[in-house]
Amino acid sequence: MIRSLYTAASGMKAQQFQVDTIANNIANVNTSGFKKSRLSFRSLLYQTYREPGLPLANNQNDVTGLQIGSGTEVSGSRKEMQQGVLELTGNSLDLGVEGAGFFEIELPNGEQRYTRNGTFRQDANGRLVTAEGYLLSDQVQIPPDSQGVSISADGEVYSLGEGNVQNQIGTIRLHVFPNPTGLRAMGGNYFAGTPSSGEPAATQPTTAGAGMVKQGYLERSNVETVDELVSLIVAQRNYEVNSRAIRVSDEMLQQVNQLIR
Amino acid sequence: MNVGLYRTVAAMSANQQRVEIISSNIANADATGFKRMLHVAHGVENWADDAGHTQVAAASRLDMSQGVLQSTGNTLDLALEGPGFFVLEGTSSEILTRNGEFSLTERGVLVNPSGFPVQWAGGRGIIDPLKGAVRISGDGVVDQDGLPVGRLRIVNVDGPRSIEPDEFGGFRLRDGAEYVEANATVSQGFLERANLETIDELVELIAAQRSFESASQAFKTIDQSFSRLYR
Repeated sequence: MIRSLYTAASGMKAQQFQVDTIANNIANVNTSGFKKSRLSFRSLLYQTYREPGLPLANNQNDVTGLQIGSGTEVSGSRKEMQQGVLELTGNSLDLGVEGAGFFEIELPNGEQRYTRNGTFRQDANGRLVTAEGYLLSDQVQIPPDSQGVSISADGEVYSLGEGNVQNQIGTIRLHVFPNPTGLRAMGGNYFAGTPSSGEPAATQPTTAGAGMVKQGYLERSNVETVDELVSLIVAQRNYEVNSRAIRVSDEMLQQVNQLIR
Repeated sequence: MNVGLYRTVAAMSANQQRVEIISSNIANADATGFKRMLHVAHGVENWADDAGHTQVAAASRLDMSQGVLQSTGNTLDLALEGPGFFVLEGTSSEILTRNGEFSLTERGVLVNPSGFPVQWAGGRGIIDPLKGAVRISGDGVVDQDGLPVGRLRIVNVDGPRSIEPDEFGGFRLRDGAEYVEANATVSQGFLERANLETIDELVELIAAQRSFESASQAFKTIDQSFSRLYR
C-alpha cells in the first residue's frame, strides 16, 4: 500500500513539472524568437513480485507473473525548434531567420551565445548589438554617414552612402547546430552550446539548411496558446487523478487500521 | 484455523496490488509510448485438503493496445502504428521501445532521450545534422535530401508475455522469447501517447477500493462472529 502512495506522488510531481513548463511557455508567448520546451517522461523501475511460470500451488503455474511499476520520472526537457511565424516590423535592423540557423552573440567576457531574436540596434560606434548591448559576432559597423542599411537574404549587409552608392559593410552568418534540441536556454532569449548540441557550423545564410535572413521581420515565439492551454488542462486533470490514487491508498490503510479493535 | 479469515486477507492483498498497478498506470499518463499494466485476478486452489475452495491472487499483464498518435511536427518524432518496437542499443542488451522521441548527436547518430542509439536494419545509418530534410517512410526507410540513408530496425514479439518492462522505460525480451516479423507503420512527426484513459483507470481505482472494503468488512464480520463464539 505504501508503494502506491509513492507511485502516485511521482505522478503528481511529474505533472507539477509539466505545469511549470507550460506556464513558462505561455509566459513567453510574446517573446521574439522564443522556443517552447517540452518534457518527456518515462516509467520508473518495475518490481517483479513473481516471475511468470512459477508454481503457485497445487499443479498450477502462474502464467503472467506479477510486475508492478513504481511510477514515472521526467527523463528530460527539450527545446522545440519549430519555426515561429515571421512578423513584419518594418524596422531595418530587425532580422528574422527562416530556417534552422542562429545568430551568434559575443558576451563581454568573450563567451558565445546563440539567439533567434534578431532585434538588433546600433551602439555609439555604429556596431550591431542586441537589446542588452551584446555584440553580434560577425562585426558589422554602420558608417556614421549611412543613409540606410539593407541586408540581403544571404546575410550581406550593405550601407547606402553618398550619392546612392551601396557599399558592403559586412556579412551576417547563421550558426547551425547538429542537435539544436540539446541547446541550453540561458535566459534572455540566449542559448549556449552543450556537448549534446554539438559545435555550431558558421554558414552563409541560404546555404546548407541554415535558412535565410529576412530584414524587417521578427520571428514570433513558436508557442501556440491553444495547444498549451489544452496541455495545461490535461496536466491538471492528471494531477487530480494522481491525488485521487493517494487518497484511495490512504483510505485503504485507514481501513486496515480499523480491522483491529 | 479459519479459512475464511485468510481468504479475506488474500483478497485484500490482491486488491492492494491492483491499486498499486493502477497508480503506476496513472502516474505514467504522460509517458510517451507507455503501455498500461492490466491487473488479472485469478483463483488459486490453495487448500489441499479443502478442494473446491479457491482464493484470489493478483497477476499483471501488459496491455499492448495502440496509443493515440499525437502530432508534434518534429521531423525526428516517430510513432509506430500497429504491433512492433524500435530497438535501442542498451548498455548490456537490446531495449525495445515504442517511444520514438529521437534526436541526433553531433556525429549524426539517431538516439533516444536517454542517449541510447537506435538500431538500423543493416548498417547504422548516419544522418548529416547539417544537411537538409529527413524523410522517414511508413516502413522505416530514411531519406535525406532524397538520398537513401538506411532503414530503421523494427521488430515485433510473440505476444505481451514475451516481454517485460525494463529499467530504462522500455521493454526487454524475456528469456527464450524471439522476435517475429513486425507489421507496424512508422508515422513521422507523431508520438504515441500512453495507451490509457485516466477515466478508465479512475473507475478501476474506485472498484479496487470498494473490493478492498468488502473484503475488510468480511474480515471484520468473521472476526466478530469468532469473538461471540469465544465469549
